[in-house]
Amino acid sequence: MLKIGLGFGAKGLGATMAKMVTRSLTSRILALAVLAATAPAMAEMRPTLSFSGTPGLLDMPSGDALADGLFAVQSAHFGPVSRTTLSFQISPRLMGSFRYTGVRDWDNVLPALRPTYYDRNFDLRYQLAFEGKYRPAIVVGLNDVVGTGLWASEYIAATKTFNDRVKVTAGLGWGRLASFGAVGAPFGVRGPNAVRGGTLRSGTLFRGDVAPFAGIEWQVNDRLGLKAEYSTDAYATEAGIRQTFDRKSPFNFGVEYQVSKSMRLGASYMYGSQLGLTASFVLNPKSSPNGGLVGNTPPVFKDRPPRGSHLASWSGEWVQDAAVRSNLASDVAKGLRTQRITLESITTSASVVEVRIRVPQGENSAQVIGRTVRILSATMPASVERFEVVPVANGLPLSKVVLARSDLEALDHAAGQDALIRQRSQILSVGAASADAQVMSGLYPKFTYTLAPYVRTSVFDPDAPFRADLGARFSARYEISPGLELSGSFTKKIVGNLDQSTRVSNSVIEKVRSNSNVYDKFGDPAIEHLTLAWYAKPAPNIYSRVTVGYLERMFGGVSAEVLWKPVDRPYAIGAELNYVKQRDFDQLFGFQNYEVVTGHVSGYYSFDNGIHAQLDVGRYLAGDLGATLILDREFANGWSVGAFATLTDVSFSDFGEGSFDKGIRVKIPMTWITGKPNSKTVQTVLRPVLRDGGARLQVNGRLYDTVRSYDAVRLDDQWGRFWR
Amino acid sequence: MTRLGTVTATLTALALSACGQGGQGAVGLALSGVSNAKPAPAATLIALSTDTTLFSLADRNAAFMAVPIEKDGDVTVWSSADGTLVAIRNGMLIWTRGFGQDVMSAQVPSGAELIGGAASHKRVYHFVDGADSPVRRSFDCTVSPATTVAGPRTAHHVIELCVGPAGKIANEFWLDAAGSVVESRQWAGELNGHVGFRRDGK
Repeated sequence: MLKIGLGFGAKGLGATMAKMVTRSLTSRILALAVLAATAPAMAEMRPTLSFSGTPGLLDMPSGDALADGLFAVQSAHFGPVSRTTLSFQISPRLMGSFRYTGVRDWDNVLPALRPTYYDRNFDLRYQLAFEGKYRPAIVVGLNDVVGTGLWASEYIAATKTFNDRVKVTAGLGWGRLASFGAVGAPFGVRGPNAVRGGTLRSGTLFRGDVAPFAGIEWQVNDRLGLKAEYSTDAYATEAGIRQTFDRKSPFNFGVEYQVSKSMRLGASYMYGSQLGLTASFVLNPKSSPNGGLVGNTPPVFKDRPPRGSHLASWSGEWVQDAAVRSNLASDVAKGLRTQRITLESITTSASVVEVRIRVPQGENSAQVIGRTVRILSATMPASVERFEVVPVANGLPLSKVVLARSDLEALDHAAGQDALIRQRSQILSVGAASADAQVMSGLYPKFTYTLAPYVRTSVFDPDAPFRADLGARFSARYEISPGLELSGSFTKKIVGNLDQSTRVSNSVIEKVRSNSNVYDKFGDPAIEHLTLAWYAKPAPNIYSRVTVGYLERMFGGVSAEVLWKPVDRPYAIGAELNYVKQRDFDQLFGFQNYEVVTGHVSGYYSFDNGIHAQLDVGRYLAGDLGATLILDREFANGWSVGAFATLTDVSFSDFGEGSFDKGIRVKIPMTWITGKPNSKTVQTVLRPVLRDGGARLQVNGRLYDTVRSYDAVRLDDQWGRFWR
Repeated sequence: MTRLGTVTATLTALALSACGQGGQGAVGLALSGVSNAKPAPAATLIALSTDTTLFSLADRNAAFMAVPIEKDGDVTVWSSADGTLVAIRNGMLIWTRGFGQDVMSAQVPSGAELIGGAASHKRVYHFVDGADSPVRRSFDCTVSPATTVAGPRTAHHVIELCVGPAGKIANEFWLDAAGSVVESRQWAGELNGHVGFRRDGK
C-alpha cells in the first residue's frame, strides 16, 4: 500500500527537481543525482479490471487484488452481453462485487419472456498470497455465489509481474469457467444450481470439470496496456442454446487506455467475432479528487498577551461585570458564526469557559472543536485557562471536550501537534447546562426550509431495468425549543416514468414494501414525511426520541426510541418501539387498514479497524420476527461501504425472489467530492429486489448516528484535523 | 472597477513583476482562485502593504502574494488574499493551511544545522490523508554545500537531501553570512511539491 504511494511520490519529486533547478550547472548536476536516486525503475504496474469488474484480463480473472479500500465501478460490453459491476476491496485480502448482467437477443432462436435476459450476481474473492520476489499473487474466487447460478463459477488464479511491465496469469476454473477445455473433474460431480437464487450454492463449489486458463498483460507505457487471454468460458447458453452470438475462438485480445488516475477505457476483440468495450472508474476513499481541502482555512490561534502589560485581563476581575460577560458572549457567538457554528449557551468563570455549540452538519468533528477553541483563544480574557466545548445536535448535548489553553498555546506550531494535544485533552460525558449559563437569545423558535430537486429511481425491474422521476422537494423544519421540532418534506414530480411500472406484487405475505411502484405512481404530489419529534437526554449516557406523524412514505404513527451510549466506549445499545399504520397510495393524509406494532433491540459496535457492526433483533413491518446484521467499512472522512442481510421467520419460498432481504449501501460525503465544506452526503442503498419480508420502518432522526458523531471514537478517528 | 477587482489587478501586477525579477518559472494566480475569493482583511492588507512575499508552487503552476498576519515568538504566519496560510520559523516552512494536501506540522532543522556541516539531522512532516487519517513522513537529512553561489548574493547556498521510508526529497536554501535563510525552495508534500519564497519578498 505504502509502496504504491511512494512510487508515485518519488516520481513526482523527480519531475519537481528537474523543473526547479535550472539556474546553475552545479544545481543541475545535483538535481540529476537526486532524480536518478528517486525515480522508480519503471512505472508501477497496477492491477486492471476484467469484464467482470474485478482484477483480471479480459473475460478471465487474475491473481491480483486492488489496494485496500478501493471502490470500482465498471461498465463492460461485448456482442450481446453487458455487465455493470460495483466492486469494493473490503480488506487487503477480501473483495466483494455486485453485478447486473443483461444478454440481448435472448429470443433469437427460442421463445423468451423478454428479449433481454437480466441477472444479478454477487462475487467474493480472497487473496491467498500477495506477490513476493518469486511467489505470484494468488486469489481464490467465487462468482455468482448466491444468485440463480447462470454465471456460477469458481477459480484459483496466480499472477506474476515481470519488470513492472508484464503480468502473466494462469489459473484453474470450475463451473462456467470450465465449460470449455476441461481436463477432468477432481472433486466429484457438480450438482444442479438453485432455482430461486438467494441461497449459498455450497453443494456445487469446486465440483465438476476443471479447466486451465491463462493470459498476459503488457503495460506499454503509463497509459497504454495490451491484453491477450485464453478463455475457458464456452458461453454454452448464450452462444450455444440461445445463439445470441457466434463463439469462434477461445482467444481474446484487448487494448486499454488510462485516461486519468481513476478512469480507464478498453476495446477488445472477443471470441473471434465480437467487439468489446469497457469503461472503469476506480475511486479511492482515502484520496479526494482534489487532494484534500482547499480554502476554508482556519482563523489563526491567538496566544495570550504577557501578564505584566495586561493585568486586568489576567486578574479575572472582569467576571464580576455582567456587561463584560454579555459582550464576551456576543463576541464568541459572532466569531463562531464565521465558522458556520451556532453558539447555544456560554458559562463563564474567571478561569473556565464552557460553550455549547450547535454543530454544522457533515463537518469533521475534531475540526469543529479546533475552530471553536481558535475563536475562544481570540476572545476570552487571559485569566480563562480551561476551554470546555460541548457539541449539541437536535438539542442533545453529545460530549464535552476539555482543553487547557496553555497546552494549545504551547502546541500551535509544534511538530506532531495533533497527537500531543489529544494526549492533553479529555472527552467526557455531559449533562444539561449549568443554571448560570447564558443562553443565547433569538435561537428558538427557528424556521428553516429548502427547495431542491430530487431524483427517485427504480432499478433491476426486468421490464425496464432503470426508471426515474425528477421533481422538486420542499423541506421545512420548525424548531420550537431545544429538542422539539416539527418537520416535513413534500415532493412534486416534474417528469419521469416511474408510473409506467405495471408490476403487480405477487407477495404472499403482507404487502408492506412490494407495492412501492404503486406509491410511486399515485404519490404526485406527496407528503414524504410530516412529523413532530422530541429528543431528550434523561441521563448522561441515555438519549431518547419520540416521533409522531407521517413517519415515512408508506407508514405513519408513533415511534419511540431509547439509546444507551457511553461517550468513551465503542459500543451502544438501543431499543425502538413503533405503532404504525399503512398510508394511502396517494401519500396525503389517509391511511389503509393494515396496522402493526414493530420494534427492535439494536446493538452497535465500532471495531478498531474501521469496521462497524449493527445487529437489530425484533419484529418487522409485515409482523415477521428476525434479525438484521449490517457491516460497514467506515473511513474517518465519512465514506462508508457496507452490506446488510435480514433473516426472519418468513420462509424463503414465502419471501419470493431472492429468498431474503439483503443489499449493499454506500455513503460518499460531498465534501470529499468537491473539496469544499458541504453538509450533504450521497447515499445509495442497492437491493437486488425489494420484497416484504424483513422490512424495517424508516424513521428520520434515529439517535445513534447523531449521538456517535462527537463521541470519543469518532473524535479520535478524525483528530488529525483538529488543527485544520 | 470594483474593490475586489482592484485587489486582483494589484496582485496580478505584483505576481508578474515578481516573476520578471525572480525568474522562478511560470507563475499563475493563487491556488483556489484569488478572483473568486471574498475580500478578506488580508486582501486589503496586501494591496496596501509593502511587506509582501511571493510564494510560488512551480509544480502546480501557481503562486500567491501573502502578508504576515501573526507573529508568535519566532514563527510568522503569512496569509494570501483568500486566506491560504503558510507558517515560517527562522526561514523554515513548518505548516500550511488551504493547500489541498497541507503540511499540518513539521519538525525542521535550525539555520545552524543547515550550515553546520556533516552531521545529519531529522526532518518529520505530518500530513492528513484524503480519509482524514494522520500520515507521518520521517526523513534523515544531510546538507551539502553548493560550490557556486547562484541566485541572490548570499554567503551560503546549500542543498538538504533527505532519505526516509517514503523515498527521497530535497530542499534548497540560500543563507546570509549570519546564517539566516534568505531564499529557499522547500518540499511541502507529494501533491504540492516545492514552495519557493524569499525572506523579504524583493
